[in-house]
Amino acid sequence: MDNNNNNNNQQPPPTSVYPPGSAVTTVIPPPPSGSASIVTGGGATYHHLLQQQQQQLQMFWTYQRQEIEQVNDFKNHQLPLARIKKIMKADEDVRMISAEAPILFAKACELFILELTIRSWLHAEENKRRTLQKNDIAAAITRTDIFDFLVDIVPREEIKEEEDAASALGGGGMVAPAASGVPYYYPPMGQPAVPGGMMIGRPAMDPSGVYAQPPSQAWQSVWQNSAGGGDDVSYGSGGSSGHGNLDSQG
Amino acid sequence: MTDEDRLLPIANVGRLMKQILPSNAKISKEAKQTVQECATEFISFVTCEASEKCHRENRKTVNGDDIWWALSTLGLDNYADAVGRHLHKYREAERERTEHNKGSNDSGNEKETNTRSDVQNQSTKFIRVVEKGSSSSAR
Repeated sequence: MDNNNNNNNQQPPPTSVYPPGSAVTTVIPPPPSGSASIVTGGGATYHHLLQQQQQQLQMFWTYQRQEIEQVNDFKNHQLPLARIKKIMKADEDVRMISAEAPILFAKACELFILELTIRSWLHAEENKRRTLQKNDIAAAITRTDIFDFLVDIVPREEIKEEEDAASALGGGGMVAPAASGVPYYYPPMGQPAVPGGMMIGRPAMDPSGVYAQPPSQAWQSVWQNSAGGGDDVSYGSGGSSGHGNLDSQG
Repeated sequence: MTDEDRLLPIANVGRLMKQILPSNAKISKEAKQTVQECATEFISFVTCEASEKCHRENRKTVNGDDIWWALSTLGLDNYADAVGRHLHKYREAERERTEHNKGSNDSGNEKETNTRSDVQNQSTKFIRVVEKGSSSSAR
């Protein structure tokens, strides 16, 4: 991967790139042709579902950025540094590793596990399931461009099943998003979004409402809200607006 | 290295997954194992990119800047941003810790010097007392 030689001398930003509490503006492409009118159980369109999912992911990253600002303890980690170092050392080209490298990987890896889990859960909920399965992980990988490096981990048939499900415009169930799913696309500052796309700014809810709680509790309330208050309701059900039920949080 | 040794511990991975899901969610063992493999692959993938950069620049040690750079290069912008902040905070904390240790070492040295002189004074007094005692008994 030598295509970015001009980046070689980049230095990490000394302070935050995004102001705390802000969310990156993201473009969601229009749904695949023919699926725009498809509706989930409660009347939310494909767009609304995507919008809701996007908001949750934005809230996740906003929350994580705020968490990092408050970290003071670099001694305790959710993942063992020795194991991370072992995995790094498995690469024959790696000779020495600075003390800060495993610490950064512990954080990056934690974020990676959390994001992959959220994206997988969104797929499980689309299928009205409460148990996260291997095919949900496969779906999350298939839909997310930045997870392309993981395609070899998930068996081909799992990916094929996921793509088939996405293309099938079957009965009342939710149609899975296209391969890019909830994409990582940041339009350059000051430039208009892709024509036909949908612009999404900061989350509809006030972050301070959720983020004051401990992580797990904070996210419980996010999930409850997105489900529209019902116990076993999937995303988008319970209201005509895909993001209206996120507003009640503030 | 055994198969388990080359992966992140599944208990830690499962704990993290559970942390972000609603309380009524369940996670299959297969899902945990898949995420475990993915997380391990994530480390290898980023390490490989960071290591290549070190190799190009004739450096032997992979450091935090290399990891930040690798995440940026690989298009993992959210991760690069988060790790950049984390790195900045870590270095700040380390600098403060070093300065604090320096300060406490200096004051520690002073204390040590004082203690030594106290001990010397006491031993001198003790010697004098002993000498006094022995001279009086000699009389």
